[in-house]
Amino acid sequence: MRIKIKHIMHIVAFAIIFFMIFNYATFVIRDKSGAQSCVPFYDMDEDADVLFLGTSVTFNGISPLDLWNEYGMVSFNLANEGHDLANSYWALKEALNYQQPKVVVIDVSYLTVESSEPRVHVLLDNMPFGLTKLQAICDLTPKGQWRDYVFPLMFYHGNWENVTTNNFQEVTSINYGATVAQYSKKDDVIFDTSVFAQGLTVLPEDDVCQIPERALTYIDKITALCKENNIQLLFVNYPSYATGETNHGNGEELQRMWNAFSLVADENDVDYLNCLHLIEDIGFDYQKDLRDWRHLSVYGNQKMTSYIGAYIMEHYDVSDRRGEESLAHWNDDYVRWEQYRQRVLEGEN
Amino acid sequence: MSVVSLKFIVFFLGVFIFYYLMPQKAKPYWLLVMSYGFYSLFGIKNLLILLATTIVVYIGACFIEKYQGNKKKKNIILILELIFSIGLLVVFKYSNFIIENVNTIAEKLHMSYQFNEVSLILPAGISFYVFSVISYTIDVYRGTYAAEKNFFKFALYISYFPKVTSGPIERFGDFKEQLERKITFDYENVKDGFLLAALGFAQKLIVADRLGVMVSTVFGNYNQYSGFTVFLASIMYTLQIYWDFTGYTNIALGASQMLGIKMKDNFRQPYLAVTIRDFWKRWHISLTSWFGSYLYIPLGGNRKGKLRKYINIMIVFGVSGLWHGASWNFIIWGLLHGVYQVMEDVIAPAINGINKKLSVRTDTFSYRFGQRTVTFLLVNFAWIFFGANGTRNALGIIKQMFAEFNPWIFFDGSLYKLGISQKQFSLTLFVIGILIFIDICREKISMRDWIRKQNLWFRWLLYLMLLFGVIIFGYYNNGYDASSFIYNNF
Repeated sequence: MRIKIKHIMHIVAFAIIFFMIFNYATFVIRDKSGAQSCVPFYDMDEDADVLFLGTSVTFNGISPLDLWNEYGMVSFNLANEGHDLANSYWALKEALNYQQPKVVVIDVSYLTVESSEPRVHVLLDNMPFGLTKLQAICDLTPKGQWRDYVFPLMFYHGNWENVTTNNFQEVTSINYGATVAQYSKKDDVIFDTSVFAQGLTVLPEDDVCQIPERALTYIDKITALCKENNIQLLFVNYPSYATGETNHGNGEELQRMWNAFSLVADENDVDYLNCLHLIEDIGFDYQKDLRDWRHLSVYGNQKMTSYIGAYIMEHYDVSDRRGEESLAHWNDDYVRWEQYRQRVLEGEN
Repeated sequence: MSVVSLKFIVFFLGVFIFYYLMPQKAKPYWLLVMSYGFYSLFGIKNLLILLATTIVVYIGACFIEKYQGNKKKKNIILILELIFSIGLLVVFKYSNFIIENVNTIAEKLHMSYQFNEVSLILPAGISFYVFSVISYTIDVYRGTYAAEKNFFKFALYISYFPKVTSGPIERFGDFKEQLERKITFDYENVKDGFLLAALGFAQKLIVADRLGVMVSTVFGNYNQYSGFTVFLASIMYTLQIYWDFTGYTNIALGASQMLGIKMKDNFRQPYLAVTIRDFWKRWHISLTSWFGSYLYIPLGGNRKGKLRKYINIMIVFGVSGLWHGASWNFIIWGLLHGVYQVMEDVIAPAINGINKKLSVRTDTFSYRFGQRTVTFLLVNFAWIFFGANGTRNALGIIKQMFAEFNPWIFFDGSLYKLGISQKQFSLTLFVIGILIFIDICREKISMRDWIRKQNLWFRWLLYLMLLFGVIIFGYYNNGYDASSFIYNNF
């Protein structure tokens, strides 16, 4: 019996049903850690004027809704935990398929550390399938693992044991990608920031050292991408208590790299704020505004958001959009954000 | 490249698409190129050994045919061919086994000299393709069919990728017949082949591999377990080896069917056998058939009296055990089956007599259930020697099985501490239930025909459940670790 039109139709129909179920099963079963910080970006009706990218420092440190409340700025926090510059580059490239921001702000906390495999999964598995995703898979992952990123179900399938009703719910967030926390905990022990009260010895700006090659590669790529798209780029090093041994290497060595970044920024003709040299301007209190050696507390988040917001409004062509009727929902979202922040301050971390 | 892998699926897809785009005459050559390509992934040295074997046997068979009228020359060539083929197995598979045993004997005889073990990699599938070439050589010698003049067709018979590493052991005559038919795309055939292969993946990935984890946990540390735990592990091994082997076979058969080449079924619900003899008509059928045709019957079979028959049975099963592995525990496994069959034959008259005296109804479910249970337990016991890492371990496992009477392990959660979680254990039991149900149904009906008769929505539901069962519940690619996704990096 040769193949008939009826058979072809059956094959096509079966394939369609198969892939629909495959996609839905992927959605249900996969780990959705980190999804709240990026999936809602795709649901935005308006284009953000400012996009924030980078690591957990930005993820916890900058609040788009506070920027809206204080400056009428429309922004989105696309940063995520453990995103190195490579991850940030691809997150930006993907974002530009959907929106055209005026300014992009990227933190440079991760100069020495590469994103781990789970962090790369968080980035790629939350991207809809497309050319950018395929390019990112080829760039960020070893060939032997491509299957896991093209078909995430084949990576996450073992998670069937942990599926609950929550897995069937869509990922939503009204925080425009941001979150806050008051404490950092490890093995149920709260990090004690009183050790920061003495202040940090900040190395002079001309005390520099070599930045790792991989970081430089992606700085170049990010710079080129922004120039191509007429986007103003701002790199930021947020305040941290970088001294002695840290989980990212020697704190003083990191300070030297952040100092060296000034030279890189000058070479690429992009802006850079090294907040370690702006502690007094910011009014930063290491003990109160940090919750561990580099993540901002709720107070630090408010302080840095306000400072960065003022800097952006002063130096870039970003306007106050509080008068726009279509953005009125941002006011309601701010109220909910305030309530959420209050709950965090009262002990929900 | 394992046939149970995504790489194989991608490879096969490529073979399949171009196969049906090619003209009929080109199809065998395409399969040959792809088969050699497949086999080359096991290493160039292995490929050269395969090629050398093919060339030697091809030429030898041609000469055997040439000298069909000259018995002396024909016999010499046959002997040389058999020495070559069996020699390959002895060198690559049994060298170290022989050396080990010679050294043991030398030590017992207080001889100081010890031979060093050789470092030879066992070519993939050598046990299977050597048996294929032996069957071909003997069939040509016997005049069953003419020696194949087309070298490429013969080379394809040996290297055919669905069967080269794990069988079944096809007869050349059957294979050639399949190749010489006009092969066109047959939708129903391709669909059936696809589903058979999918079933194979399910058997292997959902059940066999999970059972393997539990078996390894217990057999690998048998001193930590006793009583029913060890007994249950032996049952799990019995099921694991069945679904592991049928899984591979079904993938091979299914893939081949999709290419329009039907290979023979290698398993026919073996654990529903009523006697050990019946078991060997259902388990690894192509190998049993091979031993019947090329060893048992040439030894005289059952034509030279009962004693000779029993000796022949023991020889065949001893050799079968050795074929399965170069180790005494495999030989013991084989000999146990020989003993089982001999004893079955010896006590059969007594059993029949008792049944007659006690008016036992032998055509009932209860009688057959009893027979199946006894047969299963005997087979299960023998598998311990097959699955254990050596004879000493096998005896240790058996000893531990009787060390304690502990039926509470079925109720106190012990079964969830054998390497897989409670949910996975429950899933495994559930799927085992389904597979046993399928086997029971297949005793009476053709599942394929039954499924074909159902309405479209039901058939598609079954197909989707099968495919997603493998994708979601398969025990593969266990790289995901939920705890690693929790960010705790400061």
